[in-house]
Amino acid sequence: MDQNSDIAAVPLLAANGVSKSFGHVQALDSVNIAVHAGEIVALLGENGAGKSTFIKILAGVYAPDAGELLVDGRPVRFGSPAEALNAGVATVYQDLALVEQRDVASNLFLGREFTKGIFVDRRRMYKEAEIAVESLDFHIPSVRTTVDLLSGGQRQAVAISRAVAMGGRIVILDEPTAALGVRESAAVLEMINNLREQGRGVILISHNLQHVLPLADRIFVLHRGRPAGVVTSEEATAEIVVRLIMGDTSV
Amino acid sequence: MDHGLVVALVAAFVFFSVASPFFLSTRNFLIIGQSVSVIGILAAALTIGLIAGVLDLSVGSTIGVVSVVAALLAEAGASVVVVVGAAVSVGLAVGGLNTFLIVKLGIDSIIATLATASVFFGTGLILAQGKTIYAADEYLGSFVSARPLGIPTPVILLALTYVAGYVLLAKAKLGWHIYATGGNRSAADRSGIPTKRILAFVLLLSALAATVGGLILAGRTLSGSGLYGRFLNIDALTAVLLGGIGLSGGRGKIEQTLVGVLFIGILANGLTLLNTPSFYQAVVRGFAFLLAIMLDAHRRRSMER
Repeated sequence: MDQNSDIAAVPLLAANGVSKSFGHVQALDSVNIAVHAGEIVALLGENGAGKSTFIKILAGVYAPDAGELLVDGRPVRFGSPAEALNAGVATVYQDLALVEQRDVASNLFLGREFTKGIFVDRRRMYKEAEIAVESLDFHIPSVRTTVDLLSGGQRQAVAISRAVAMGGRIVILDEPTAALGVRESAAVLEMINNLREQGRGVILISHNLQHVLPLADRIFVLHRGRPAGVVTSEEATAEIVVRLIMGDTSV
Repeated sequence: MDHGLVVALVAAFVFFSVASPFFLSTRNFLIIGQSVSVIGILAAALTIGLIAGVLDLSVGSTIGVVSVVAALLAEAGASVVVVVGAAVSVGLAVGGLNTFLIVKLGIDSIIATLATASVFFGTGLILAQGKTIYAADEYLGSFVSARPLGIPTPVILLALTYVAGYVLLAKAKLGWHIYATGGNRSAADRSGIPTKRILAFVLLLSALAATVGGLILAGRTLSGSGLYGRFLNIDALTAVLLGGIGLSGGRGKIEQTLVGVLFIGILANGLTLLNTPSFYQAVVRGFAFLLAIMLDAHRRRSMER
């Protein structure tokens, strides 16, 4: 595939040989990932496998000790989460980072409000917020509702919409269904599927194999900070993936 | 908006209108406005601070220091520019110290300002050697007692404060960032909002509000004392909490605080008109504060359902 590469074959985001240590602890050792436009890749591993550290490097929170990040095939260095966001990498953290007391529109454009001079351009904000929410097809009562009145799934939807509204071409989702019931999980997974259909690249971190297996195009597994294997959706079975997660190298 | 307080305000208004023949008059309303001007300005600043997630308890003693500095300089024959300039410098120093403790060192704002309040209170007493300094700048005195268009200057300052506060909180981008900082600081940080600068701004604002309050008191009483402003903290905070701003940050509107301020003003004025001795008023003030705290607790419980 690399030989007859066209534009679509260049990953939106790739990490090659990324390593990171904290003191004497090697959190990541030569880890790779690549996500293309219109692709959902899952990142799996046990607690402490290095998933959080890895996505924080992708999100610009940490700088890697070694290895490189590529956006659209070009090497990049993120000095801060804002720089990652400017390059199109938006991260939805598990805590969602929403201001619950504020309404949906305020949260969607948090820190990036539309302005006229020093004032907030409310009209434009609410209009753009409605467009952003509608495009992801998830029911939110109104963009003027405060977030503390929303359900867990609706909050997740707001956080994902924000990642998109802020220009995320690559959306990293950290355990998006962890706190949700069956019905809301299904709706959020549908929303993630929509991201793929819009041609975005998605990196999905989840413990729930039932959620990951039907959705992911490829699955990257980490074990103790090292790459434990990559499986495509065709070859992925729960058994294989679990064995990789446990560090079984015979797979 | 909490309708309970609006109802209470109207009830107090009607009650005192019936109970006292002097209550319902333009003159009395201007007296009420004047009596709440300093508390009202402080309450506006506390509101903005609480929305951003910090409570500045040092505003009362800052007023004392400012009034002493203004009186001492006037006594020494300094010009009005020097008097006001020195007062503003004191305000900036106070705000700077609070910012250093709260933003730079990360000390909880209530604890930090409880400590600095004591320092400023003592500084005011030391500077005045425990006395009241009877001296005031001539221009400051006449500015505070002036009545352009028949309205006392402090009332005009009060009104301007609330208009500016409303524009800041409801309209300006900075105001939206103040809400975000108080609502979820880590989320605001991750969204690129400069939360440290916002907290510094808010703390400087409350110190400068106290400076204005100190100058108003110095100009009104033509004197300065470290004791001025001692109860103004609690009065201002009562007004803020009665208005329903809450201690948890990230929510509230400055209009609510104005209603709380007017309620306290009408209550005090009405009780005075009904010849209630001032020492009873201290008890009423304490109960009003307790009521405000209870309302806040109730509101938070009902929000959690």
